[in-house]
Amino acid sequence: MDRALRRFRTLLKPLLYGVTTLMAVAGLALPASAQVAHYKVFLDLSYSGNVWQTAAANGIKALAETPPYNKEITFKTVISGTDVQHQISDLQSMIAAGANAILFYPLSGTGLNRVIEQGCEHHVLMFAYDSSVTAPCAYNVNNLAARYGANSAQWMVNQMDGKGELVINHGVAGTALTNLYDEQALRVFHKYPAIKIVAQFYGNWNDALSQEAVSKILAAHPNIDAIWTVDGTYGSLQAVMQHRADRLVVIAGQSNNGYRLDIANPALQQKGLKGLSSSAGPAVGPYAFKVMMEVLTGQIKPKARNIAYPLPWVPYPEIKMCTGESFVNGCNVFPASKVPPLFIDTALDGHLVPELDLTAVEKGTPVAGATIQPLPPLDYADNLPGINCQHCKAPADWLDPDLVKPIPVPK
Amino acid sequence: MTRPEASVLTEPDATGEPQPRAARVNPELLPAIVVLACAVLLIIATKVLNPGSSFAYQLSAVLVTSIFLVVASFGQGLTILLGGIDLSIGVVVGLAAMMISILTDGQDGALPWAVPATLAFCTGIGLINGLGIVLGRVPPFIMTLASGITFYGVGLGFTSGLAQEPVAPALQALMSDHWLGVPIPVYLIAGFAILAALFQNGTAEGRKLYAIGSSPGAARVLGLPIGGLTILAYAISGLCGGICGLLLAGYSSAATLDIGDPLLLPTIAAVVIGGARVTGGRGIYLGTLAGALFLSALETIITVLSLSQGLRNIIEGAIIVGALLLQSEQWGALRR
Repeated sequence: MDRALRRFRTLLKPLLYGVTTLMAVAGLALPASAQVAHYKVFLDLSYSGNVWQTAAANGIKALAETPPYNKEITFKTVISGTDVQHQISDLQSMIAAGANAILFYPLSGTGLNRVIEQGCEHHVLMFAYDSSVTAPCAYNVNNLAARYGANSAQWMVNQMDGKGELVINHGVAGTALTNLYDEQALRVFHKYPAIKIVAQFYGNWNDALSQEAVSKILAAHPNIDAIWTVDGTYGSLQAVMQHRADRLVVIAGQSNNGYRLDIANPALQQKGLKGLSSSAGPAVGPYAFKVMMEVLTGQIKPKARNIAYPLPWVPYPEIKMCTGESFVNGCNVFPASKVPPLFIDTALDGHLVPELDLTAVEKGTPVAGATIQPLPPLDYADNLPGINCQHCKAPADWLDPDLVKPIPVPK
Repeated sequence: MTRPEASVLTEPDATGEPQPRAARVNPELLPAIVVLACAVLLIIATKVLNPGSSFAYQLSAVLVTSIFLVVASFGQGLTILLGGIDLSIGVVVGLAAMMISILTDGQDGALPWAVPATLAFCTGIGLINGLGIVLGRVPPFIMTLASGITFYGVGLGFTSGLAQEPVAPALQALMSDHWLGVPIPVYLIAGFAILAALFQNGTAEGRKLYAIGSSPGAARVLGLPIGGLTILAYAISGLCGGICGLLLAGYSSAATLDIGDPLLLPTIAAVVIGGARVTGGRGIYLGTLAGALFLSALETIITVLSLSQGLRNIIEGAIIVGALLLQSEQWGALRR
């Protein structure tokens, strides 16, 4: 019934555009509100004020105002804070307000399932981005199954020749993401007995906290060789550069612009700095929004609910300076004069969301003249029980690296 | 570093303060000394647990990372001395860090006006807190919580959470350079501590704060300017939050709006551990300073030992409760 209605609407769209244009040509001034809004689309954010979340939200807002989406939807944003109960009631209000699609940053993998099922019963498209939910009717768009923990750890092991003193900067204690990545990374590190984990701390994905902790660790362990992080990478590296400027480290983590500039700097590389820029990118938000819009407007029909966003993966030799405002020709870092050091470069994605530029993700405004580009074919993610599905099986090798080839264990 | 304060503290008593007060100051010093000794023990323990480490570097790491707490908890201490509290301090720190990055835009030349402007803004938030508490008779914890949330919202509206400009290099150098082999922040701590102790325990205004905190009724009968002094205390707390924000921006060379959030509870903890009475009227700055150094040393040993986050929270919570219990039992008995 609803599908038929949707198809009818899709057919109606060109007709309405034609009529609108005719009326405008005829000089009948038409107030903006009289333009027919086809879909009600909601964005439910976890929490604003955090750099990562803000960049993702800005990208989504900019896309929502980019033609033709700007004419197809009425778009509303709601901030649910960090409280699951709050998010449940916000999602319920959106469903009650007649939403056609809801894109949300899930605050719990299982706690939202009931309200998600309510939404599905009302034929609302429910899309979770970056983090995931286990409700079978929801779509998950993220790179959780891309094995960041295993791949980044293996990359570091290879750079360290399988030996040395390692510091682990965990994320936020008690989150599913931290547990998942830790499990993968530790498994890789433990395969190499010559790698000694000399200290670990919870940096809460925060650069200032990570910087303090690493400078304290350096006081007790002056010979560390490497730091594994998920975020707080720039702060961790700053601490080493301040306290042991002549001997730097192997490091893996986020994609802050200042960090990418540092690891691409030949003078720092000579002092032993070898860096990998990866981890979750805010562009997953705008990408999920695009996928949701294409499903909503009937352009694509995904064969599965777990949709993969590719893991950003830029080892230090592959960093390339951008001259303009966007990631074109494979460039992936901006000059320090253009963005602050903590700007997250993976807020942009030249391949999957080419509609966005620097101003769009900083201010949430659409790029002048940009229109929505067609999506490349979707990639589907592995099942991870308890993370993106309920009664399912993970692939047998889900803890092993799949982007990096392991080196043999040194004798 | 503790000696200058000790001499400052005894000064008012030597210059004709009434006798009973002189007798009271000594027991107040006791918790400060005990806590400071514990901090030193923690640093020595870290060294013993990691024989390969350098003691001097360890000491400097503890001192440099304690500066944020040393500064912010002075303001917090003054409001607690009045029986109040300042819950907006984390937000003020974040706003100051953001503001200094935006105003200087990576240029040292802008610092001479940007620093006063930032500090004036933060003092202004403190003033609003004080005015709300005095004129509006809003309980301090609600007033400061509400103003913190409101100003956080203002900051979010203007900046969306991340300063788009780099921090001025001179401010970064201030936090990372050395003078005569000692990190500059260590001199800053010493200077700040002397000024803070001079104000709190050496000036008439400071003494009046004690009087108001111990017995507001008596202070009113005496005709002390309770309103003015309360506003002053909250304004100073705002100012300290501002200074702390400047230092934190220089230290981390990039500012975010939530950069000060992890500092709120430790500022209260430093004051309480240092022997201040939570209901006001008792506590000296030397105690707060010792509390801040102790917390920094504790963080270091927890980090170096790589304790799990759960255990870390248990230890930090237990220490605050322990300090409160000690205050009511043992130190109280010693005071008698």
